[in-house]
Amino acid sequence: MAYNIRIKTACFLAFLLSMASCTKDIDFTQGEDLEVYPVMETSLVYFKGSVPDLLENGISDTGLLVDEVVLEAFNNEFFVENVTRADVVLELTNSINRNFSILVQCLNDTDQIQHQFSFSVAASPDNLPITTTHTEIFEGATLNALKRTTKLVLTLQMEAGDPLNQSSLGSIALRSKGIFYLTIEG
Amino acid sequence: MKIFNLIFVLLSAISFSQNKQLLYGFSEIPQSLLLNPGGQVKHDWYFGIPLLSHVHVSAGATGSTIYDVFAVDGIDFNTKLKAAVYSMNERDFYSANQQLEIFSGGFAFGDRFTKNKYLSFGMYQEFDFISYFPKDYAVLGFEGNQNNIGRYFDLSHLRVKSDVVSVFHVGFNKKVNQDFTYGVRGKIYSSLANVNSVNNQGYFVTAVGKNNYYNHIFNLDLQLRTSGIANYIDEDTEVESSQIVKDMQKRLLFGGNLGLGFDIGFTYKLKEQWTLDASLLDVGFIRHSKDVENYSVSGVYNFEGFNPIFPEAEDGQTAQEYWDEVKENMEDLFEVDTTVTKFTSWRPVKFNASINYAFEKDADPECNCATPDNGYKSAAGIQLYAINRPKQPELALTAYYYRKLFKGLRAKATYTVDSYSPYNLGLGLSAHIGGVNFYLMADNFLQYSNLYNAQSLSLQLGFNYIFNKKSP
Repeated sequence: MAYNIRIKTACFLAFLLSMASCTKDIDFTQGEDLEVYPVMETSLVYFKGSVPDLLENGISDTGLLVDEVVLEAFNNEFFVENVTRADVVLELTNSINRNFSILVQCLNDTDQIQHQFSFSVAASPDNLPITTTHTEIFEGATLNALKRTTKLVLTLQMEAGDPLNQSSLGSIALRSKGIFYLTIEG
Repeated sequence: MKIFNLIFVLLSAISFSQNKQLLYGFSEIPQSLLLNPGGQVKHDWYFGIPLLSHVHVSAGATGSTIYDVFAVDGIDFNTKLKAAVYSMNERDFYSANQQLEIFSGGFAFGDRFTKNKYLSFGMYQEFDFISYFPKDYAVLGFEGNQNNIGRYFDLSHLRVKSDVVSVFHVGFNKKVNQDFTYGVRGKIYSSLANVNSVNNQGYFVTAVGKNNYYNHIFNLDLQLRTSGIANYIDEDTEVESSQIVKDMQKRLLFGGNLGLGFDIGFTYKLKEQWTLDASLLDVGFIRHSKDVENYSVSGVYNFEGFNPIFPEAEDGQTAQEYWDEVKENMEDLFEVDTTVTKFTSWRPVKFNASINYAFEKDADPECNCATPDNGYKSAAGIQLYAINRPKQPELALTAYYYRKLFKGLRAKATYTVDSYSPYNLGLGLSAHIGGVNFYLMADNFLQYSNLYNAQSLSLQLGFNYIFNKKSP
């Protein structure tokens, strides 16, 4: 009886060992097929100015406010390699009784314009906010232009209308964001 | 970039666990004293065959396996990877452990007749690695922040720890009486290399903004500490591999960062057939003062975008001051501070305990002496194992059955429930032919049909020469 148990035990052990260490087909080169498509959104430029702010900047009748944003993000290696589409969303909200327009220019290292676009928002006679949204889509050639961009120049233009003074109501505000579609490959 | 390559290699390494449920309590094998210095000693003296006396490797993953992601099954790789990422959480981990005994020995001493004291010593090298799955980092990488506005990406999900040490140890074991045995073991650690990033804090969130679409809030407190690798990852200096080998040899022989620790344990006979034992291992630390290099990124910053046209409207700043501040804040936030501050790393403390019931009287006619097993051929019991890990302790519960099969062959079968799997079967054999002892133990037999799909595996083997005055 005891002998029988030993035989059985030995058979069981042999069975266990025979099962040892099998592997099924795996292929690590599949890692090269890796493709991930994250979408990042980030705030870009914003401002908000009341009538006194505009007056302080010397704009009372018609005029331009120009500023530039140095942005090295667009031509950084990661951005250039992985971004396949970029949308820039701008929103102007106006409650001043004047038309405004904004011009966005993308400049490269040597200050040459790579791309530009503009849009406007209507005057608000009753000082209630009027909002206009513009989406600029960068794909293909325009995306390449964006990837050469190191500087954004924003020009806010107030168009002619009734004179403004310190007590004039309303404000002009800009909000903007970038939506970046990435493709990250293995 | 070298450091990131290194981290990647560490992360992609197969992972291991440290539980040695088969060896624990297997008192015919001298190395069981490393798991409980207060275990029962059943021989007079022994020495381990150098470099072969104890080889241990084990691998484990609580989440997705290699097979889940890399199987040749016609399913798109990205689909599988995505499924793997979303099926895991930040408590899932990959861990790895490997040990190689360089030399070991032990002998009984004391009163000429009883020889109830036992001294053991040895040296082994150990590699240990654990990485938790950095869930929030993975989700941010997969999706971006667009679909996660308002979600706090928890930066503490990154927890990784890896080290290579050599350990010299001396243990003392005393059988106080028939019922009680205790033991202690002192250890000197020499760290060959250590990389750890376990105290990360902070978050990244894209919140709805007040002045602009979004307010991106960065709250970063990330730290990676290293010792023993700074010279090799410095991009400016090429280090010959022969130099690395030399360095490692030196550190193996206590030329590394040193530390101290101890193990304690006991065995207590409750009743004729019942025994209780327990041990606490690797209560110790290593002080890292040589070849240290730490990297940290910290700071809090809210970014709503650039406000170029009316910046001074805020608090009297000029446009130039505004730009300088924005630039400075950004640079400060993401700047990696490199320091050489000394640090202390704690060894992962392990706890073992078991309750054992011996049965089946040994009716061996060749021996009517008091056998070391108190005359029983079989034993069964329950073992508990716990290890202190960076996020939380990991536990394992084992039920075992032990039996003397033949005169010189003992076997132990285990069934273990742990973080890796609820059905881990293990088998260990210890053969004694003359003075030569050979043992081989492996677990997770149910998964050997496909190693790549195994949640965890462990293997231990070794050769000793045992001199046994008592009956085998």
